[in-house]
Amino acid sequence: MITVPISAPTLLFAKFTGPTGLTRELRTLVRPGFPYCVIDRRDAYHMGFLQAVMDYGPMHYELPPERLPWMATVTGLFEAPLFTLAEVSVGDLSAKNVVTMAHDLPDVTHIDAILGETFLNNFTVVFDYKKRQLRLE
Amino acid sequence: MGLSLSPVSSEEDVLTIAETTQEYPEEWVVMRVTRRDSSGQPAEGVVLGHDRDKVAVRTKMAREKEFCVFFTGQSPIWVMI
Repeated sequence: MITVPISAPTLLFAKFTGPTGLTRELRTLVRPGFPYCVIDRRDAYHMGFLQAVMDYGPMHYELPPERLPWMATVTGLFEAPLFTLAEVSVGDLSAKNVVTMAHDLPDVTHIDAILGETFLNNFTVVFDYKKRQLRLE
Repeated sequence: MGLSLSPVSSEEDVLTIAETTQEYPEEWVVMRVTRRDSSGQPAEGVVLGHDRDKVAVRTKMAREKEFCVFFTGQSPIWVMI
C-alpha cells in the first residue's frame, strides 16, 4: 500500500519503463478521470517511441486513429499519440503494458507526467480528504 | 548552473530530497536514488546533474538507463489538466 499526503496538486514519483528497459522516475500528477497515463514527448522518444516527436509528419499519421485520439480539456482540444510502456510502478505497485500518451505538459506546471486510468485501473485508489491522504493498494 | 554529466556529488554526498531542493533551488535535478521511504518514494540520492532547462537536463542524460528527475521548486497550486 502506498500512502502520500493529499496536497495541491497531489504529486508522487512513479517509474515509467519503456520496451527497451529504459526507466525514468518522474514526479507525476495523480489524475483519476483522465483515461491515460501521460509522459513528456522527449521521454517517450528516448524510450523508443519515435512518433512522439514527429509532429503531424508521415510517421505521426501512420498511427491508426485509435492510437491518435483527440482529448478535450478545460483549455481546449489536442491530439496526441498513444504507445505502450512495458511497466509503470509506484513503490511496490506496478502495472504491465500500460497505454500511455506522449504529450508535453506545460513547463510552468513543473510536472513531468500524469498517472491516469490506464495505471490507476489496476488498483484501489482512495482519496481520503478528511485525513488528507491518498492511498493506493 | 551548467549541467554536469558526472556526479556532482561523490558517493559520500548523498542528499535527501529536502537537501537537494535547498542545494539546487528552482532547478531540474537528475538523481540516482539510494534510499526510499516506506511508500517507495525517493528519500535520498546522489545528484548526477542539474540545470534550469528541463530539456537540456534530459537530453544530456538520454543514454542513462535509469534515473529520477524532478524540479526542486513548487508546482503551482492551480494545476488543472
